[in-house]
Amino acid sequence: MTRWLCLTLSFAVALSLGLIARAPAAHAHPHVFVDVTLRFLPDEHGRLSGVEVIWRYDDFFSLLVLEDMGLDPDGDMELTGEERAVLKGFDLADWPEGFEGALFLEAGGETITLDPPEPIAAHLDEGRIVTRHLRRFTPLRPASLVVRPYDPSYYAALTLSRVGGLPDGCKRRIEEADKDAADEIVAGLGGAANENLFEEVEVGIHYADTLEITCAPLS
Amino acid sequence: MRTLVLIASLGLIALAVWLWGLGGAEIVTRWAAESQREVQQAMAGYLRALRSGEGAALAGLWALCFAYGFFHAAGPGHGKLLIGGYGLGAGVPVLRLSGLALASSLAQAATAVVLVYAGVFALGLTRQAMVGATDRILAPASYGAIALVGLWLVWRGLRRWRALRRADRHHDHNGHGHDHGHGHGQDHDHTHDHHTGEVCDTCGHRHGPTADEAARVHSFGEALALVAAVAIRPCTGAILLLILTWRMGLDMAGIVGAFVMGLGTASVTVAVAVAAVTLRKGLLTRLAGREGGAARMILPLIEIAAGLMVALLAVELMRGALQAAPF
Repeated sequence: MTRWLCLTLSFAVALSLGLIARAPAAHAHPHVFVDVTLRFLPDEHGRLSGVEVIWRYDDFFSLLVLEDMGLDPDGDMELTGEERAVLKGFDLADWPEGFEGALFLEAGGETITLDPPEPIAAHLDEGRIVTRHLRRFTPLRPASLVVRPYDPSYYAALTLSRVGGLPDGCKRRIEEADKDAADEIVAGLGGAANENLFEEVEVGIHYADTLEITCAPLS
Repeated sequence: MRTLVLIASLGLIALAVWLWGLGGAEIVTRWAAESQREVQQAMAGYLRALRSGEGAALAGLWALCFAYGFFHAAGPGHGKLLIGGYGLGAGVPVLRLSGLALASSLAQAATAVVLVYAGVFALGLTRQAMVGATDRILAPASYGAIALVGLWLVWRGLRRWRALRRADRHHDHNGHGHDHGHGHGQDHDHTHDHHTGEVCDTCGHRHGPTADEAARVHSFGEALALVAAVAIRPCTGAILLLILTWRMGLDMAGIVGAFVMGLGTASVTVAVAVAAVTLRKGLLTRLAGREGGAARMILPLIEIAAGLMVALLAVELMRGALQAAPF
């Protein structure tokens, strides 16, 4: 009798331990690191009409892309004009389904629709690939504009490093992402009960830097 | 000595609870993830230096590979789950389990080498296709295999437990076996304290029912299954390194680097192997001190419990891998 009790007990303990333990695979971590510069384009009326996005990729990813594309075979970290032309727009082609360019703008709670990206140029700087592209949108003079550069799937970690091009009368404030808080949120989502974590919940936003632009109304 | 073993086991239990129960693994993973950027940057630097003919960068690259393997193994992972669970559940000598841990890490590196050279070189697959195949197919396959090993431990534990009950009934009939066992347990307590860790191996042999099965633990096939279950899934970092070094004409630097990564991983899995065996021995020592029969009975129970945990966690990992983003 005691034997059966022991057996049942060991089953129960193992079961509960196995179920309580978090899914270790759930932890998202980025594979690509990107420094982002945003340069806004003011129009003649002092409104914002678009933003030039500069992505500066990390060394390792840059090397992977160069080797994939067979660029810079001599390894001198200089690209010829031809090679730069080949590289231009490499990160704009074939965006996966649902990927919107890792840039999200919101004015007064409304998402601002961005036009498709227009490639400007790509070059190599100290071994790191730097690409520039343009996102236009319907011109606006925002009382408050919230801008977040991030990859929803957090495959790439984006860091907002510089902001420019704001018209007169506009102020900016950058709030860096609270990574510890983000980690905690993600850990909280990782419970065994949440089956849809990987598909449904996109954790990237928790790691996003936030830029807030406030403009005085035009007279 | 007994107190030492007890303290060590309590420490390990606390560690295990912290790691898997209280989210400590999360912290270790975060630690590894945070250093990811620096590691990638340094690796790119060494590879460029090597290509421009700086032979000295080789040592740096391999040192980095070791560190990479170590850090990535320090988080939660399938290799440790299997080695740890197996060490806890089955009576494996510590050296043998450590050897298995080392072998599975190196076999994992070998898988990466074979995969890259067969896939990219012979089949012309792209880097994305390679990494995709690893994450989408090989990872869940590996977790599935580990779950099977877990279930197999459960099944074997159940069989032993039944055999034990049958044998026990037999002992009760002639009223001899229990006294015998009891006497030996006490004997060890008083005179062979420094051998406490071995008490239960001895118990097992004396009492027969588990002896033949204990021998089976050491079978070659089982070792092979263990190593293969881990090795099916190569490490993404090793694959990227191998593709890069192949493209850059640094093949040997990359292949050796992949195995050095395996050694870095093994440094953690071997520690897990030692911890698991120590924990098991500590548990058994305590129980054996009280009554020979209790320790004997607890053996299959531990095996069932460990197997069940391995199976559950592996299934959980597999579910995660099957739903992960298609990168």
